[in-house]
Order: sequence, then structure tokens, then C-alpha cells
Amino acid sequence: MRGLISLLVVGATVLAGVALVVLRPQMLDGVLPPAAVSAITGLGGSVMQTTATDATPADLLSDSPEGLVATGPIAAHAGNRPVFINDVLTGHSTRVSADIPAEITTIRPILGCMPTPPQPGTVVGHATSGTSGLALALSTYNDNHLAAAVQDFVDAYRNNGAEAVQPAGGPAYEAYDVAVTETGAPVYLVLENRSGNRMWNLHLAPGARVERVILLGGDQAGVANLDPVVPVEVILNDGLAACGIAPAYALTPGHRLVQVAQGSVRDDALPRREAEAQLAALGMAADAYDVWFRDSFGVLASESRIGFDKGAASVIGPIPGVGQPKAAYDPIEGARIRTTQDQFFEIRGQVAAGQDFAARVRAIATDFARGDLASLRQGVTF
Amino acid sequence: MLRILIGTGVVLMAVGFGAAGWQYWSSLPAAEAMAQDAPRTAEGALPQPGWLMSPTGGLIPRAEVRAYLAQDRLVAGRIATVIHTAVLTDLLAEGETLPAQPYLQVFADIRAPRMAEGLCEALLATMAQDCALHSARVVRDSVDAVRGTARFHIDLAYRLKPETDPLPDLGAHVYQSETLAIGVAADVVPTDALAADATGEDAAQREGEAVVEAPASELAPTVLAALDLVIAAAQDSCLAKEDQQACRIMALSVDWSPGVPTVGQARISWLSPLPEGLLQAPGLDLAPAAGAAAPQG
Repeated sequence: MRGLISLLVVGATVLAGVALVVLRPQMLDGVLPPAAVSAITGLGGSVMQTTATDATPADLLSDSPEGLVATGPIAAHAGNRPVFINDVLTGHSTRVSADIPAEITTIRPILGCMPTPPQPGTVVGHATSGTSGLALALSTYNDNHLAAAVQDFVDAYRNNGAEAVQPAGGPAYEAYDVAVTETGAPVYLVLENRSGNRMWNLHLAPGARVERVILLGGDQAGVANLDPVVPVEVILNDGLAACGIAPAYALTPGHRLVQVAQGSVRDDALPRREAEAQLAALGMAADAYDVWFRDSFGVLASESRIGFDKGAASVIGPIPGVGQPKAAYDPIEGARIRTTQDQFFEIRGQVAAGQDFAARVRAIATDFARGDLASLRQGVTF
Repeated sequence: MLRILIGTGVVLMAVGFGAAGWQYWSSLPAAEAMAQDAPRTAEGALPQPGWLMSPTGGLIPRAEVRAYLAQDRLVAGRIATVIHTAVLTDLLAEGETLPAQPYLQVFADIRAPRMAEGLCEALLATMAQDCALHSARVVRDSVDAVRGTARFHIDLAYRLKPETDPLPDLGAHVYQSETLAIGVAADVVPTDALAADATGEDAAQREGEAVVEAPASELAPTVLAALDLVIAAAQDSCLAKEDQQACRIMALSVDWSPGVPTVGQARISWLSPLPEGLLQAPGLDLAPAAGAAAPQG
């Protein structure tokens, strides 16, 4: 009997170990409290950092065919140079998927094409974000998103049948961290996103002051952990397009388009001449954007830009020296946020039954199918 | 003690692998799981010898042979495609209204089977013994919210009415095909457009197949009339072939919009006697049993 029990204990331990290795700490989300999950994640992180003690921030930045990609815990700094996040921000965490803010205020995009310019004596900080991969529990969407999701649902249903189909969630806000270490003057922040819904999470070093925040681009945009007295102005992608403004930047040498245009890489779908033409057009667009940016904020977009194509953080200001205080990480959990919203807004886990994105998708599909989803199945069995 | 340990190990393994197997089976798509579960049915037998030869002596691809010969069942290679423009309100039941503009595309896609009503009946009335709706979808980005119309793509699987004459000796005939172009110049019809879509064969295998222009297209008042028009053209073309036997409509497509001449294609195939210079190989006899036929000496 003792042998059997011992065998069961050993087996269970081995299985748990294998599961932890295979599924990683994500399997513990919702099972253990966030603090415990963070502690386990931290263990993994410390192991990684121990093994990479010799690595410099530059080693963790890849000039890839998709642009500049952060492959480790680095942030973009002035001149788009990489720095370790830990050197500018204490307590940084990427476990934000379950964070729920304490207060949400809806803001609206400005009318017109010219935001309020910076005051004399302020420092303009310009952070840009590509993708961070830090999806939040907040999402916002409209009828177009729902219609597209219904189509995906119908396609999946036709292919796989009822049981295998679960509508996905709505488009979530993605978090992006901005550490403000500039303490010599008030900072006028221009936070520029390319696409999707963005939540800029600000972390101020002691003594740092923000004069105004301008949110540019993206489908929807918000800012977290900002003093409520600081004004926020927004021009989203559709507003920029209506103003004839198209954010554009010169590509890095490793970018695929540059490689094809230089003849270093061959792409059957993109002839070299076409790549050269696209690159030239991009150069002109970048110049035009520079002009608008300088007229609006007094600096050139191409020179002031701080942010990688894939990364999670930017630093506005100097890197704190030894003994100088760093910015402290402020979580989105319990934060005060101001954000634009689409037609529908939801917080995962806090939506009435049948009112979340997935339920809406299923309900629309069922309604269109006259109550019988099985009628979606098609195809003759040959 | 040792027996208990071994027995426990065996039980744990059985439970573990059993659970893994169950999880794998339940994760399979329903259709696939059912297919694995059900006994595999043998493919219906084709008329012997089960292969066909081209006029140049080459073998006809198997999928096409099946589409031509297997008339006792529906096969993937024999499809009638109807693309037509229709009014979205035709998709509504009584008392319903159209959804908001962003949903029109997916609404039309879900209700598209309604746009196939009457098409199988048209095939059954003219050429088909059996017909079934294979797929009905709205053409992507074809919804015109202003006009309230959309284009629908409908695929029907069918089998042909039985012929009065039996099939000739397949080994003594060659298989020929032709694509009939209706309402479009023959030189702009891709020869693989119909059959390659239907059978999945490589377009290169159809090089050299004739594309002929049908008489000028008519302005069909309805999609059913347009379908009849293409079928009639295909049947007329079959009748006009000299020395043909078992001429069959292998695939057809119709593209209809109100007020626009019908555009369509039909692919017909038939058997012809062996051309000059091509001889039928003698049948192979079974080898005699060892010893039985050995000469006595």
C-alpha cells in the first residue's frame, strides 16, 4: 500500500513538473493569486537574466525584416537606442492581462487637425508604439468588428461544426509603458500608435511633470496613470486620414522592403523596381509627416521618435545615474484611465451574461440563421 | 509487492494513455471524427477497365475518369456553378427587415442557400438524374448596399440522366473533351477554368483541349433561363459531334446579372473510336498454373 501511495506521489509530482514546463505559468492564471504567479514568473525571469548577464541592450534589439524588434526586456531611448527597462523603471511587469482599472473616463478626439502646441520651455517627448503583445482585459469594438467576427464564426462553423467553434473576444487595448525620467522641465508628451487599440501606461520618475498629452493614431487610444488635471488631446487614425496626415518613417536597413530594394533579398511577389518605388514613396511620406509634426510640435518626427516596431516600453528623458531615482512602475490594476471608446466597451469578466463580444457574435449568427446554426453546414459528402 | 507495483504502473499507463487518446479523439473536428469512426465505404466501382485514353494515347487523369464514368453517385468533379446577382430583400422571411449595413455581407452569406432555390429543379428537368446543393456563398465584397444587391456563388453536384445506349468498349475508344464558351470569346476562356476547379487536376493536363465559341448569347430574363440556355447549348454541342458516344456534360458554369447577356461555360466529354494508327492492345491472359501447362517431354 505504501508503495502505491509513493508511486502516486511521484507520478503526480512528475506530471505537475511536465505541465509547468509545457504550459508555463499561464496555466496558473486564475488558479493562483496574481502575486504568486508574478513570483513564479520572476523566478523564470531571474534565470533568464542570469544566463544573459553578459548581454547588452543592443544584443536584445533585432533589426529584422519587420523592423526593430525588442527580443528582451529593453526600452527605446532617445535616438531609438535600447536600454534595459530595469535601468529606468523599477518593478516593471508584463503581466497585465487581468488588470482592471479603478476609474475609466471617456474622452473624445479633437475637432480639427492641429493639437494645442507645446508651451515655451517644455520638452517634447515623442514615443511611438508598434505592437507590444500586452493585451488588457479591456476591449472596445463596433458593428464592423462584430460583423467580421460573425463571418469568422460562420466560416469556422461550416468547417468544424458546432462543438469546435467559440467566437473570439473583441479587439482588446494593448498596453505600452512610457517611463518619464525628464525632471528638468515639464514634458509635452506625443504618444503615437500605428494601429489597434492602445493604452499608454505612464510611469513618472520623482519630480517629472507632464504638461499635456497628445494621443496620435490607432483605432482607439487611452492613457493610464496620468494626473487628472493634465489635458489629453486625441487624433485617431481616421482623424489623421481626414486631415491628410499619414504617419511615416524611414525604414531600418534590415527591413524587408529595404533589403529587396537593395537586391540583398529576392521576393517573387515584390519585384525590385516596385520595392524601390515603394521605398521612394515612403521617403516622401516621411518628409511630409516631418513637416506636419514640426509645425505642430516644433520637432521633427523622424528625429524625436522613441519606440521600436515591436517592443513594450519607451523612455522619455535621461537614464537615471547611480543613486538617482528611477521611474516607478504603476500598474493598470486600480489605475485611473482616460480613453476613447468605440460603439461597445467591455471589461472582461464584468459584462452581463449574453452581452459580451462572443455572445453577441453567436446571437447575431443565430438570428441570421433563423435560430438554427446547424443550417450553416454545407457540402455534399462525395 | 512487485506485482502491486507492476499492476499499478499498468493501470496508470492505461488511464494516462486512455485519457490522451480520448482527448485527441474529442479534439478532432466532428466530421473527421465521424469519418474515422464509421466504416470506410468502398468507392463505387467504375465500368471496366476503369481508365480512359486520350486521342494521343495518354491516360486521362483518374479524377476526371471518375467524374465521367461514375454516374451512379455524386462526385466532386461534376459540379454546376451558378453565379448570379440577386436582390438582398429576397433573402428575407415575411416580417423581417435587412440588418444594418456592416452586417449585410455576412447576412447574405448565411442566407445564400435560399438563392439556390429552383436551380436543382432546373438541372433535374433537363439533364440531371440527381442534384444536391454543395455550397452557396455570397461573393466576397459583392454587396452593393445602395442598390441592395449581392452576387451569389452556388455549386451544385449532380449526376446525369442514364443514357439509352450502354457504354461502348472503353478500351476501343478514346476520350475527348471540349469547353464551350457562351457569351465570351473562346480565346479568353481559360481551358482549366471549369474542370480543373472541379477535379483539382493540374491545368497543364488540359493543354490542347478545344475551346469553342457558342452562338451569340441571349439576354436571359432569369437565372433559371440562363442556366437552361447553357445546358441547351451544351446538349446541342453534344448532338453535333460526329461519331461521338456517351457525350456527357462534365461541368458547367453560368454567370447571370439582370439586363446583361448571359455568360457561361460548359465542358462536355465523349468517346470516339480509336483514331487511325492507334490500335487496341490485346487482352492479357492469365499465366497457366505451374506444371499444369508444362509440355510433356
